[in-house]
Amino acid sequence: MRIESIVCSVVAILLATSSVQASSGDLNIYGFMSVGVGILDKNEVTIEGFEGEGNFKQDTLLALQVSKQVNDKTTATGQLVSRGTDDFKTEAAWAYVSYQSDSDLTARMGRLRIPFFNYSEFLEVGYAYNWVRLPSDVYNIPFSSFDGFDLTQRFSIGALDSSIQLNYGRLNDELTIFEEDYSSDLKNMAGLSLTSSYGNWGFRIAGQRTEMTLDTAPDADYIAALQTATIAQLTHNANPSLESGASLLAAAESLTEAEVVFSKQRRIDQAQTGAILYAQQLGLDIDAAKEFALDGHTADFYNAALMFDNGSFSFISEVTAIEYESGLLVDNRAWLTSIAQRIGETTTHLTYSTSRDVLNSGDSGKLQEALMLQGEDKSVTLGLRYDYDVNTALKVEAQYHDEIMNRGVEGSYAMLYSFAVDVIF
Amino acid sequence: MKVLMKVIVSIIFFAVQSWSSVQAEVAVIVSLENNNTYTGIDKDLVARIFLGKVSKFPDGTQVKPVNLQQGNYLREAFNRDFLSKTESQLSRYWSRMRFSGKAALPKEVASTEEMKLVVANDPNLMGYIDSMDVDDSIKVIHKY
Repeated sequence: MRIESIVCSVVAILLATSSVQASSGDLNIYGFMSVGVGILDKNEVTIEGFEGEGNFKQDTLLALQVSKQVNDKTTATGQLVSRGTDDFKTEAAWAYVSYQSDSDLTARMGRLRIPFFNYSEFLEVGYAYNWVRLPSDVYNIPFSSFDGFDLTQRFSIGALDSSIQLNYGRLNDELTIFEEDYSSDLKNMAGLSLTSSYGNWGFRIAGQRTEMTLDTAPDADYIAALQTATIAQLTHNANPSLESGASLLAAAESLTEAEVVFSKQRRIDQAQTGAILYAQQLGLDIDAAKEFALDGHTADFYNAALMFDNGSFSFISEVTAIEYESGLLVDNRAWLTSIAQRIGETTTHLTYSTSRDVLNSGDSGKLQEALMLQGEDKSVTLGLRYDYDVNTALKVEAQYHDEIMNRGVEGSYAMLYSFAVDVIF
Repeated sequence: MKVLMKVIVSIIFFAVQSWSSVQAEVAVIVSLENNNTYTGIDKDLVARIFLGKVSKFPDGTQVKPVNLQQGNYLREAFNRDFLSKTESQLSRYWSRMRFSGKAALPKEVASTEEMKLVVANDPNLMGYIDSMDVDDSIKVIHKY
């Protein structure tokens, strides 16, 4: 709500200033659009949001970017995105005012993208990369924007051009995790990234940290019902009587009711309840209520990337690690390597990407294993990009996706075929 | 026989024409007031300036690149010889910059005359023209 009103006022200011000056040259409107279709060769699995029937909505989006140079050093920019996955609701991916100093320092404030990965700051601009969509084994963080500021200092040492970017802010938003919605508060989100280029080579290293709070809670009623039922069972077994039988029956009944409520809860809520119960059951020496919660627990993110592009041959290799303080989310390691060969306006590319959850050591890890939280994926993608003209790219892609492990059990594999048209204007 | 001659002549004509466009010598220019003639601006630095990676002349003053419009034969020569990129590769490069708010595209002018005029009047600009069009209103800092 707040962001929408910021965007509205930014747009209003832009329009107002432009009409006062009555010059079309100063108000810039750009945009990008992707339309795509994808189909899986299997009906029983869902990969990247696609199923066995052709899906035209998943990869389709439209974005408009409006920017206005307010004065010599200050620019106001808004980028509004409507995504097919979101029923084409419009959302501000960017809405910021930037200030550019003479000494190559840029400060921006407002809604910005979090520079997690190499492609993060243009992750939805399909035209800007070879793939139909970014490899989800690596690019799998359920949020990409924040509200705050960033500072970018550019500098050159000889022919090595670099920029160092500091960001700080907060995100108060609905997050979709495992296809379920949580309201979240990500506080003290802070990060640093360094990007360099030297001739045909590029290099990037970045880190981010935030304190995560989600609206999850253990199910106290279910835990209590389970305990009551267990005690009633023990009491009845030790000294069976009419009275103990009746209370066991009543306890069993309320446990069934509590179970129905519990089974309808979201996955992380269940895991939080499960952690407390398993810790008792397995006799683990761990404060599960505290360690398996998301209440200001930190999440750390690290990324490094190496790029090469000589105009005809290019490659990128990108590696990430995520460490969660809370046991409810499992630490993850992921990387991708992609090579591409360009002949004329046709680029052929091949990508391998993989993601692996890493259980904690000790009791915390045993608990994570019991809760079946971990997953592992790998994908091989072969694709073709054809630059039809300087604003249009046509893409076809075949992706073999292997879910080695999904929620602690052996997963499935499938082929995903995609076609997309990406346009900028 | 006549037809054959005609074909040969037109082949030669086209060959010469494309040869001359390939061979266009690009002169990178600055204002007469610019002091960077002797600071050794090489091809690589010109490319980094035109890709928005460097924002200062070697003497520390601000530099802003000026481009010719798309479709201009000299822009094609400049893209190929200095930037080693095709127009669509550049378009992709700038789409990344633009939609992440990192850098703005170079300003564009429509003709060599306009290029000379704007560059002559602003010591912070760097442009390029065909070396055949060089006159004493501007300074050449690099030729290729």
